[in-house]
Amino acid sequence: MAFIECRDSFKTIRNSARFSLLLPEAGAAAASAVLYLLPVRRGLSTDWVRYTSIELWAREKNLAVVMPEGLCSDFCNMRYGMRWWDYLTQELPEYLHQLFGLPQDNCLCFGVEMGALGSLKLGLMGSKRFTMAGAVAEDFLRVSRYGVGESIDHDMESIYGKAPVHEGILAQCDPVLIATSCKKSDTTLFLCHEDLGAEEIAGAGKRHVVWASRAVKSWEGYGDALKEFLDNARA
Amino acid sequence: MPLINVQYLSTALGGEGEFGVYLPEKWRDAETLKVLFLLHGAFSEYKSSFLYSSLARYCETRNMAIVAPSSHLGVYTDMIHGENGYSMLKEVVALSGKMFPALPSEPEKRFILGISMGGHGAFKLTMEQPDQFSAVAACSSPIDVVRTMELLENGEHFGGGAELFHAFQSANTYRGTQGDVIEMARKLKQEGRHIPRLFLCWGDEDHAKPEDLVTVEKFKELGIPLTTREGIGGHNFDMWDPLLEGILDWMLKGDEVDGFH
Repeated sequence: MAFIECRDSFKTIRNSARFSLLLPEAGAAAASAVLYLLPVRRGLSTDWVRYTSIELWAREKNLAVVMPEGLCSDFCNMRYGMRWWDYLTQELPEYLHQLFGLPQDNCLCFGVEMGALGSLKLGLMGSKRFTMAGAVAEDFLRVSRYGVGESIDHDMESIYGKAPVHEGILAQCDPVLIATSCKKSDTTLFLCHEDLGAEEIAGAGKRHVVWASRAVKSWEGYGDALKEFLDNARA
Repeated sequence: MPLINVQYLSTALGGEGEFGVYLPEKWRDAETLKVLFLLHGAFSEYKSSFLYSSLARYCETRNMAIVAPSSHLGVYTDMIHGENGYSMLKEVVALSGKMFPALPSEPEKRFILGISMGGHGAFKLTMEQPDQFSAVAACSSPIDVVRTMELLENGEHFGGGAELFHAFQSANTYRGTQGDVIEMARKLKQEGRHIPRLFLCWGDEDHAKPEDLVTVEKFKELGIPLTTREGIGGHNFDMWDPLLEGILDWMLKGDEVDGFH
Protein backbone atom coordinates (compact mmCIF):
# COMPACT_ATOMS: atom_id res chain seq x y z
CA MET A 1 0.00 0.00 0.00
CA ALA A 2 1.07 3.57 -0.62
CA PHE A 3 0.68 5.98 2.29
CA ILE A 4 -0.12 9.45 1.05
CA GLU A 5 -0.29 12.66 3.07
CA CYS A 6 -1.82 15.78 1.61
CA ARG A 7 -2.82 19.26 2.72
CA ASP A 8 -4.76 21.54 0.41
CA SER A 9 -7.18 24.45 0.53
CA PHE A 10 -10.88 23.72 0.32
CA LYS A 11 -13.62 26.19 -0.50
CA THR A 12 -16.25 24.66 1.76
CA ILE A 13 -14.21 25.23 4.90
CA ARG A 14 -12.46 28.33 3.54
CA ASN A 15 -9.25 26.93 4.93
CA SER A 16 -6.67 24.24 4.39
CA ALA A 17 -7.18 20.72 5.66
CA ARG A 18 -4.97 17.69 5.84
CA PHE A 19 -5.90 14.15 4.95
CA SER A 20 -4.09 10.84 4.60
CA LEU A 21 -4.72 8.05 2.13
CA LEU A 22 -3.85 4.42 1.78
CA LEU A 23 -3.91 3.36 -1.85
CA PRO A 24 -2.96 0.18 -3.66
CA GLU A 25 0.27 0.84 -5.57
CA ALA A 26 -1.66 0.09 -8.73
CA GLY A 27 -3.89 3.09 -8.01
CA ALA A 28 -7.43 3.63 -6.76
CA ALA A 29 -8.96 1.81 -9.71
CA ALA A 30 -7.48 -1.42 -8.35
CA ALA A 31 -9.20 -1.06 -4.97
CA SER A 32 -12.22 -3.22 -4.20
CA ALA A 33 -13.87 -0.50 -2.07
CA VAL A 34 -13.19 2.84 -0.42
CA LEU A 35 -13.21 3.19 3.36
CA TYR A 36 -13.72 6.62 4.91
CA LEU A 37 -12.08 6.38 8.32
CA LEU A 38 -12.99 9.34 10.49
CA PRO A 39 -10.96 10.75 13.37
CA VAL A 40 -11.71 11.36 17.00
CA ARG A 41 -12.33 14.91 18.20
CA ARG A 42 -9.26 17.02 17.34
CA GLY A 43 -7.67 13.89 15.93
CA LEU A 44 -5.03 13.80 13.22
CA SER A 45 -5.26 12.18 9.83
CA THR A 46 -2.41 9.87 10.79
CA ASP A 47 -3.99 8.55 14.02
CA TRP A 48 -5.50 5.41 12.50
CA VAL A 49 -2.25 4.48 10.80
CA ARG A 50 -0.19 5.07 13.92
CA TYR A 51 -2.47 3.47 16.50
CA THR A 52 -3.94 0.52 14.59
CA SER A 53 -2.99 -1.97 11.88
CA ILE A 54 -5.27 -0.43 9.27
CA GLU A 55 -2.61 -0.60 6.56
CA LEU A 56 -2.31 -4.35 7.02
CA TRP A 57 -6.08 -4.85 6.94
CA ALA A 58 -6.52 -2.52 3.97
CA ARG A 59 -3.91 -4.52 2.08
CA GLU A 60 -5.63 -7.80 2.95
CA LYS A 61 -8.98 -6.50 1.72
CA ASN A 62 -7.56 -4.36 -1.08
CA LEU A 63 -9.20 -1.18 0.22
CA ALA A 64 -8.44 2.42 -0.49
CA VAL A 65 -8.65 4.28 2.83
CA VAL A 66 -9.42 7.98 3.25
CA MET A 67 -8.50 9.51 6.60
CA PRO A 68 -9.59 13.15 6.85
CA GLU A 69 -9.42 15.49 9.81
CA GLY A 70 -12.39 17.35 11.27
CA LEU A 71 -11.05 19.35 14.22
CA CYS A 72 -13.87 19.70 16.76
CA SER A 73 -16.83 19.88 14.40
CA ASP A 74 -18.96 16.75 14.86
CA PHE A 75 -18.63 16.87 11.04
CA CYS A 76 -21.37 19.52 10.95
CA ASN A 77 -21.71 22.77 9.10
CA MET A 78 -20.82 24.64 12.28
CA ARG A 79 -22.88 27.51 13.63
CA TYR A 80 -19.66 29.39 14.40
CA GLY A 81 -17.03 27.69 12.31
CA MET A 82 -16.39 25.78 9.16
CA ARG A 83 -18.70 23.76 6.90
CA TRP A 84 -17.19 20.36 7.65
CA TRP A 85 -20.28 18.41 6.53
CA ASP A 86 -20.13 19.95 3.07
CA TYR A 87 -16.38 19.26 3.00
CA LEU A 88 -16.80 15.61 3.98
CA THR A 89 -19.76 14.80 1.77
CA GLN A 90 -19.15 16.97 -1.29
CA GLU A 91 -15.82 18.66 -1.81
CA LEU A 92 -13.46 15.99 -0.48
CA PRO A 93 -15.01 13.04 -2.39
CA GLU A 94 -15.05 15.10 -5.58
CA TYR A 95 -11.43 16.12 -5.02
CA LEU A 96 -10.37 12.53 -4.41
CA HIS A 97 -12.25 11.36 -7.47
CA GLN A 98 -10.64 13.97 -9.71
CA LEU A 99 -7.09 13.66 -8.41
CA PHE A 100 -6.74 9.98 -7.55
CA GLY A 101 -9.63 8.51 -9.53
CA LEU A 102 -11.18 7.29 -6.28
CA PRO A 103 -14.58 5.68 -6.96
CA GLN A 104 -17.59 7.46 -5.51
CA ASP A 105 -19.63 4.32 -4.98
CA ASN A 106 -19.04 1.08 -3.09
CA CYS A 107 -17.87 2.94 0.01
CA LEU A 108 -17.66 2.06 3.68
CA CYS A 109 -17.29 4.45 6.60
CA PHE A 110 -16.16 3.95 10.14
CA GLY A 111 -15.48 6.22 13.07
CA VAL A 112 -15.11 6.26 16.80
CA GLU A 113 -16.06 9.00 19.23
CA MET A 114 -16.66 12.17 17.18
CA GLY A 115 -15.85 10.20 14.05
CA ALA A 116 -18.70 7.82 14.91
CA LEU A 117 -21.14 10.69 14.67
CA GLY A 118 -19.71 11.63 11.29
CA SER A 119 -19.74 8.03 10.10
CA LEU A 120 -23.33 7.47 11.19
CA LYS A 121 -24.46 10.62 9.40
CA LEU A 122 -22.52 9.61 6.29
CA GLY A 123 -24.21 6.23 6.32
CA LEU A 124 -27.70 7.60 6.88
CA MET A 125 -27.61 10.93 5.07
CA GLY A 126 -24.55 10.93 2.86
CA SER A 127 -25.84 8.91 -0.06
CA LYS A 128 -26.57 5.35 -1.08
CA ARG A 129 -22.93 4.78 -1.92
CA PHE A 130 -22.14 3.72 1.66
CA THR A 131 -22.92 0.05 1.98
CA MET A 132 -21.95 -0.10 5.66
CA ALA A 133 -21.31 2.49 8.35
CA GLY A 134 -19.53 1.72 11.61
CA ALA A 135 -20.07 4.04 14.57
CA VAL A 136 -18.86 3.09 18.03
CA ALA A 137 -17.54 4.59 21.24
CA GLU A 138 -19.79 7.63 21.05
CA ASP A 139 -22.61 9.04 23.15
CA PHE A 140 -25.29 9.49 20.50
CA LEU A 141 -27.55 11.32 22.94
CA ARG A 142 -24.95 14.04 23.43
CA VAL A 143 -26.50 16.39 20.91
CA SER A 144 -30.07 16.06 22.16
CA ARG A 145 -28.85 16.48 25.74
CA TYR A 146 -26.94 19.67 24.94
CA GLY A 147 -28.20 22.60 26.97
CA VAL A 148 -29.52 20.52 29.84
CA GLY A 149 -27.84 21.73 33.02
CA GLU A 150 -25.86 24.81 33.91
CA SER A 151 -22.41 24.18 32.48
CA ILE A 152 -21.37 25.90 29.28
CA ASP A 153 -19.86 23.72 26.58
CA HIS A 154 -17.99 26.04 24.24
CA ASP A 155 -17.27 23.29 21.72
CA MET A 156 -20.95 22.43 21.43
CA GLU A 157 -21.85 26.10 21.25
CA SER A 158 -19.44 26.60 18.33
CA ILE A 159 -20.99 23.68 16.49
CA TYR A 160 -24.69 24.05 17.28
CA GLY A 161 -25.08 27.59 18.60
CA LYS A 162 -26.43 28.51 21.98
CA ALA A 163 -28.83 26.06 23.62
CA PRO A 164 -31.60 25.31 23.02
CA VAL A 165 -30.61 24.23 19.55
CA HIS A 166 -32.90 25.24 16.71
CA GLU A 167 -35.12 22.36 15.56
CA GLY A 168 -33.89 22.66 12.00
CA ILE A 169 -30.30 22.18 13.12
CA LEU A 170 -31.22 19.26 15.36
CA ALA A 171 -32.94 17.53 12.45
CA GLN A 172 -29.65 17.61 10.56
CA CYS A 173 -27.32 16.82 13.46
CA ASP A 174 -29.03 14.73 16.14
CA PRO A 175 -28.24 11.11 15.20
CA VAL A 176 -31.39 9.67 16.76
CA LEU A 177 -33.62 12.15 14.95
CA ILE A 178 -31.73 11.47 11.72
CA ALA A 179 -32.17 7.72 12.14
CA THR A 180 -35.88 8.22 12.83
CA SER A 181 -36.50 10.42 9.82
CA CYS A 182 -34.24 8.46 7.48
CA LYS A 183 -36.12 5.16 7.49
CA LYS A 184 -35.23 3.80 4.09
CA SER A 185 -31.47 3.80 4.31
CA ASP A 186 -29.88 0.79 2.60
CA THR A 187 -26.76 1.20 4.68
CA THR A 188 -25.97 -1.55 7.17
CA LEU A 189 -25.01 -0.09 10.55
CA PHE A 190 -22.31 -1.41 12.87
CA LEU A 191 -23.11 -0.24 16.40
CA CYS A 192 -22.34 -1.11 20.00
CA HIS A 193 -25.08 -1.91 22.53
CA GLU A 194 -23.26 -0.08 25.29
CA ASP A 195 -23.11 3.25 23.46
CA LEU A 196 -25.79 5.67 24.61
CA GLY A 197 -28.41 6.12 21.90
CA ALA A 198 -27.30 3.15 19.81
CA GLU A 199 -30.44 1.11 20.66
CA GLU A 200 -32.67 4.05 19.71
CA ILE A 201 -30.85 4.43 16.39
CA ALA A 202 -31.12 0.72 15.66
CA GLY A 203 -34.82 0.75 16.53
CA ALA A 204 -35.63 3.65 14.23
CA GLY A 205 -36.45 2.35 10.77
CA LYS A 206 -36.00 -1.06 9.24
CA ARG A 207 -32.31 -1.26 8.61
CA HIS A 208 -29.85 -4.04 9.12
CA VAL A 209 -27.65 -3.64 12.19
CA VAL A 210 -24.53 -5.60 13.10
CA TRP A 211 -23.65 -5.33 16.76
CA ALA A 212 -20.06 -5.05 17.97
CA SER A 213 -18.99 -7.90 20.19
CA ARG A 214 -17.75 -5.58 22.94
CA ALA A 215 -17.56 -1.95 23.94
CA VAL A 216 -14.36 0.00 23.31
CA LYS A 217 -13.36 3.27 24.91
CA SER A 218 -9.84 4.10 23.80
CA TRP A 219 -7.24 3.43 21.12
CA GLU A 220 -6.50 0.20 22.99
CA GLY A 221 -9.73 -1.15 21.52
CA TYR A 222 -10.56 1.04 18.54
CA GLY A 223 -8.44 -1.09 16.24
CA ASP A 224 -10.27 -4.24 17.34
CA ALA A 225 -13.60 -2.58 16.61
CA LEU A 226 -12.41 -1.50 13.18
CA LYS A 227 -11.15 -5.00 12.41
CA GLU A 228 -14.49 -6.49 13.45
CA PHE A 229 -16.30 -3.94 11.29
CA LEU A 230 -14.14 -4.80 8.27
CA ASP A 231 -14.66 -8.51 8.80
CA ASN A 232 -18.41 -7.92 8.70
CA ALA A 233 -18.32 -5.60 5.71
CA ARG A 234 -18.89 -6.98 2.26
CA ALA A 235 -16.12 -5.11 0.51
CA MET B 1 -1.06 24.48 -2.97
CA PRO B 2 -0.51 20.90 -1.95
CA LEU B 3 2.79 19.15 -1.72
CA ILE B 4 1.67 15.56 -1.39
CA ASN B 5 3.97 13.03 0.21
CA VAL B 6 3.75 9.42 -0.98
CA GLN B 7 5.42 6.51 0.79
CA TYR B 8 5.09 3.19 -0.98
CA LEU B 9 6.48 -0.31 -1.09
CA SER B 10 9.14 -0.14 -3.77
CA THR B 11 9.85 -3.28 -5.72
CA ALA B 12 12.97 -1.64 -7.11
CA LEU B 13 14.38 -0.73 -3.71
CA GLY B 14 13.10 -3.78 -1.89
CA GLY B 15 11.69 -1.51 0.79
CA GLU B 16 10.05 1.84 1.28
CA GLY B 17 10.21 4.38 -1.49
CA GLU B 18 9.13 8.00 -1.29
CA PHE B 19 8.14 10.72 -3.69
CA GLY B 20 6.42 14.08 -3.57
CA VAL B 21 3.75 15.48 -5.85
CA TYR B 22 3.24 19.21 -6.09
CA LEU B 23 -0.01 20.38 -7.65
CA PRO B 24 -0.63 23.86 -9.02
CA GLU B 25 -3.89 25.56 -8.13
CA LYS B 26 -5.44 24.88 -11.55
CA TRP B 27 -4.57 21.17 -11.69
CA ARG B 28 -8.13 20.34 -12.67
CA ASP B 29 -7.58 22.12 -15.99
CA ALA B 30 -6.54 19.06 -17.99
CA GLU B 31 -6.10 21.12 -21.13
CA THR B 32 -3.19 23.15 -19.74
CA LEU B 33 -1.78 20.92 -17.00
CA LYS B 34 1.78 19.73 -17.52
CA VAL B 35 4.03 17.58 -15.36
CA LEU B 36 7.69 18.03 -14.49
CA PHE B 37 9.65 15.08 -13.12
CA LEU B 38 12.19 16.61 -10.76
CA LEU B 39 15.32 14.68 -9.80
CA HIS B 40 17.27 16.06 -6.85
CA GLY B 41 21.02 16.10 -6.37
CA ALA B 42 23.33 14.08 -4.12
CA PHE B 43 23.28 14.22 -0.31
CA SER B 44 19.65 15.24 -0.48
CA GLU B 45 16.04 14.13 -0.90
CA TYR B 46 13.09 15.43 -2.89
CA LYS B 47 12.01 18.18 -0.48
CA SER B 48 15.34 19.98 -0.78
CA SER B 49 14.52 21.38 -4.22
CA PHE B 50 11.32 22.88 -2.81
CA LEU B 51 13.04 24.27 0.27
CA TYR B 52 16.04 25.85 -1.46
CA SER B 53 14.36 27.19 -4.60
CA SER B 54 11.11 28.82 -5.69
CA LEU B 55 10.46 26.11 -8.25
CA ALA B 56 6.93 25.44 -6.94
CA ARG B 57 6.01 29.09 -7.48
CA TYR B 58 7.50 29.06 -10.97
CA CYS B 59 5.53 25.92 -11.81
CA GLU B 60 2.38 27.38 -10.30
CA THR B 61 2.25 30.19 -12.86
CA ARG B 62 2.81 27.67 -15.68
CA ASN B 63 0.21 25.18 -14.46
CA MET B 64 2.85 22.53 -14.09
CA ALA B 65 2.67 19.72 -11.54
CA ILE B 66 5.86 18.27 -10.11
CA VAL B 67 6.62 14.63 -9.38
CA ALA B 68 9.82 14.31 -7.36
CA PRO B 69 11.28 10.99 -6.19
CA SER B 70 13.81 10.65 -3.39
CA SER B 71 16.93 8.80 -4.52
CA HIS B 72 19.30 9.88 -1.76
CA LEU B 73 22.68 8.62 -3.03
CA GLY B 74 21.23 6.25 -5.58
CA VAL B 75 22.63 8.29 -8.51
CA TYR B 76 19.46 7.26 -10.41
CA THR B 77 21.41 4.18 -11.31
CA ASP B 78 21.03 0.50 -10.56
CA MET B 79 24.23 0.57 -8.55
CA ILE B 80 26.72 -2.23 -8.74
CA HIS B 81 27.02 -2.06 -4.97
CA GLY B 82 23.91 -0.30 -3.71
CA GLU B 83 20.30 0.45 -4.45
CA ASN B 84 18.46 0.23 -7.74
CA GLY B 85 18.09 3.98 -8.18
CA TYR B 86 17.29 3.87 -11.89
CA SER B 87 14.63 1.19 -11.55
CA MET B 88 13.18 3.24 -8.71
CA LEU B 89 13.00 6.30 -10.96
CA LYS B 90 11.14 4.40 -13.66
CA GLU B 91 8.91 2.89 -10.99
CA VAL B 92 7.92 6.34 -9.66
CA VAL B 93 7.22 7.68 -13.15
CA ALA B 94 4.90 4.73 -13.76
CA LEU B 95 3.32 4.76 -10.30
CA SER B 96 2.59 8.48 -10.37
CA GLY B 97 0.54 7.96 -13.51
CA LYS B 98 -1.47 5.20 -11.87
CA MET B 99 -1.95 6.93 -8.53
CA PHE B 100 -2.62 10.38 -9.96
CA PRO B 101 -4.68 9.84 -13.11
CA ALA B 102 -5.22 13.62 -13.25
CA LEU B 103 -1.58 14.04 -14.31
CA PRO B 104 -1.09 14.25 -18.09
CA SER B 105 0.25 11.23 -19.95
CA GLU B 106 0.82 12.95 -23.31
CA PRO B 107 4.56 13.16 -24.05
CA GLU B 108 4.29 16.80 -25.11
CA LYS B 109 3.14 17.66 -21.60
CA ARG B 110 5.86 15.74 -19.75
CA PHE B 111 9.27 17.17 -18.88
CA ILE B 112 12.26 16.18 -16.76
CA LEU B 113 14.60 18.39 -14.76
CA GLY B 114 17.65 17.06 -12.93
CA ILE B 115 19.72 18.96 -10.44
CA SER B 116 23.39 17.93 -10.31
CA MET B 117 23.32 14.13 -9.83
CA GLY B 118 19.69 14.22 -10.97
CA GLY B 119 20.70 15.42 -14.43
CA HIS B 120 22.34 12.08 -15.15
CA GLY B 121 19.11 10.27 -14.34
CA ALA B 122 17.07 12.79 -16.31
CA PHE B 123 19.14 12.40 -19.49
CA LYS B 124 19.37 8.64 -19.08
CA LEU B 125 15.60 8.21 -18.76
CA THR B 126 15.04 10.54 -21.69
CA MET B 127 17.40 8.57 -23.92
CA GLU B 128 15.79 5.29 -22.91
CA GLN B 129 12.22 6.57 -23.31
CA PRO B 130 12.58 9.37 -25.88
CA ASP B 131 8.94 9.14 -26.93
CA GLN B 132 7.68 9.78 -23.40
CA PHE B 133 8.97 13.31 -22.81
CA SER B 134 9.00 16.65 -24.56
CA ALA B 135 12.19 18.10 -23.11
CA VAL B 136 14.86 17.44 -20.50
CA ALA B 137 17.08 19.86 -18.60
CA ALA B 138 20.06 19.28 -16.35
CA CYS B 139 21.71 21.73 -13.97
CA SER B 140 25.44 21.19 -13.31
CA SER B 141 25.21 17.49 -13.99
CA PRO B 142 27.54 14.59 -14.73
CA ILE B 143 25.68 13.63 -17.90
CA ASP B 144 28.66 11.72 -19.23
CA VAL B 145 29.38 9.43 -16.30
CA VAL B 146 32.14 7.62 -18.17
CA ARG B 147 34.05 10.91 -18.31
CA THR B 148 33.27 11.54 -14.64
CA MET B 149 34.68 8.14 -13.70
CA GLU B 150 37.82 8.75 -15.76
CA LEU B 151 38.41 11.99 -13.86
CA LEU B 152 37.83 10.21 -10.57
CA GLU B 153 40.19 7.39 -11.44
CA ASN B 154 42.87 9.92 -12.42
CA GLY B 155 42.37 11.93 -9.24
CA GLU B 156 41.27 14.92 -11.30
CA HIS B 157 37.66 15.09 -10.15
CA PHE B 158 36.49 17.82 -7.76
CA GLY B 159 35.94 15.26 -5.05
CA GLY B 160 33.03 12.99 -5.95
CA GLY B 161 32.65 10.36 -3.29
CA ALA B 162 32.77 6.63 -2.95
CA GLU B 163 29.12 6.45 -3.98
CA LEU B 164 30.16 6.93 -7.59
CA PHE B 165 32.46 3.92 -7.40
CA HIS B 166 29.68 1.98 -5.69
CA ALA B 167 27.31 2.94 -8.46
CA PHE B 168 29.48 2.61 -11.55
CA GLN B 169 32.62 0.79 -10.36
CA SER B 170 34.80 2.25 -13.13
CA ALA B 171 34.74 4.07 -16.44
CA ASN B 172 35.41 0.85 -18.31
CA THR B 173 32.67 -1.01 -16.49
CA TYR B 174 30.08 1.60 -17.42
CA ARG B 175 31.27 2.52 -20.91
CA GLY B 176 28.84 1.32 -23.56
CA THR B 177 26.30 -0.02 -21.08
CA GLN B 178 22.59 0.72 -21.14
CA GLY B 179 23.24 3.68 -18.83
CA ASP B 180 26.01 5.33 -20.86
CA VAL B 181 24.11 8.46 -21.91
CA ILE B 182 26.46 9.45 -24.72
CA GLU B 183 26.25 6.00 -26.25
CA MET B 184 22.48 5.95 -25.81
CA ALA B 185 22.26 9.31 -27.63
CA ARG B 186 24.59 8.10 -30.38
CA LYS B 187 22.40 5.03 -30.90
CA LEU B 188 19.20 7.08 -31.08
CA LYS B 189 20.83 9.37 -33.63
CA GLN B 190 22.06 6.45 -35.73
CA GLU B 191 18.61 4.87 -35.71
CA GLY B 192 17.06 8.17 -36.75
CA ARG B 193 14.75 8.16 -33.77
CA HIS B 194 13.12 11.18 -32.16
CA ILE B 195 15.23 12.82 -29.45
CA PRO B 196 13.51 15.23 -27.03
CA ARG B 197 14.90 18.76 -26.70
CA LEU B 198 17.96 18.87 -24.42
CA PHE B 199 19.24 21.58 -22.10
CA LEU B 200 22.32 21.82 -19.88
CA CYS B 201 23.48 24.65 -17.65
CA TRP B 202 26.32 25.22 -15.18
CA GLY B 203 27.72 28.06 -13.12
CA ASP B 204 30.79 30.14 -13.97
CA GLU B 205 32.34 29.04 -10.66
CA ASP B 206 30.80 25.59 -10.76
CA HIS B 207 33.06 22.56 -10.26
CA ALA B 208 30.84 20.74 -12.76
CA LYS B 209 31.66 23.25 -15.51
CA PRO B 210 34.65 21.40 -17.02
CA GLU B 211 32.70 18.14 -17.21
CA ASP B 212 29.68 19.86 -18.69
CA LEU B 213 31.80 21.56 -21.34
CA VAL B 214 33.09 18.14 -22.40
CA THR B 215 29.50 16.91 -22.56
CA VAL B 216 28.62 19.87 -24.80
CA GLU B 217 31.44 18.93 -27.17
CA LYS B 218 30.31 15.32 -27.31
CA PHE B 219 26.75 16.26 -28.23
CA LYS B 220 28.13 18.65 -30.84
CA GLU B 221 30.14 15.77 -32.33
CA LEU B 222 27.01 13.66 -32.39
CA GLY B 223 25.12 16.43 -34.16
CA ILE B 224 22.42 16.47 -31.47
CA PRO B 225 21.16 19.94 -30.47
CA LEU B 226 21.87 20.84 -26.84
CA THR B 227 20.81 24.23 -25.53
CA THR B 228 23.16 25.60 -22.88
CA ARG B 229 23.42 28.46 -20.41
CA GLU B 230 26.07 29.56 -17.94
CA GLY B 231 24.79 30.90 -14.66
CA ILE B 232 26.57 33.11 -12.18
CA GLY B 233 27.98 31.30 -9.18
CA GLY B 234 28.85 27.86 -7.95
CA HIS B 235 27.26 24.47 -7.56
CA ASN B 236 24.22 25.47 -5.50
CA PHE B 237 20.68 26.83 -5.59
CA ASP B 238 21.93 30.43 -5.42
CA MET B 239 23.12 29.83 -8.97
CA TRP B 240 20.38 27.44 -10.15
CA ASP B 241 17.29 29.23 -8.86
CA PRO B 242 17.66 32.36 -11.07
CA LEU B 243 17.84 30.03 -14.09
CA LEU B 244 14.80 27.91 -13.30
CA GLU B 245 12.09 30.15 -14.77
CA GLY B 246 14.06 30.42 -17.98
CA ILE B 247 14.46 26.64 -18.09
CA LEU B 248 10.72 26.12 -17.65
CA ASP B 249 9.95 28.62 -20.40
CA TRP B 250 12.49 26.91 -22.64
CA MET B 251 10.78 23.59 -21.93
CA LEU B 252 7.39 24.99 -22.82
CA LYS B 253 8.27 27.30 -25.69
CA GLY B 254 11.62 26.22 -27.07
CA ASP B 255 14.70 28.17 -28.07
CA GLU B 256 12.78 31.02 -29.69
CA VAL B 257 11.84 32.35 -26.27
CA ASP B 258 14.75 33.48 -24.16
CA GLY B 259 13.43 33.67 -20.63
CA PHE B 260 16.87 33.87 -19.06
CA HIS B 261 17.85 37.03 -17.23
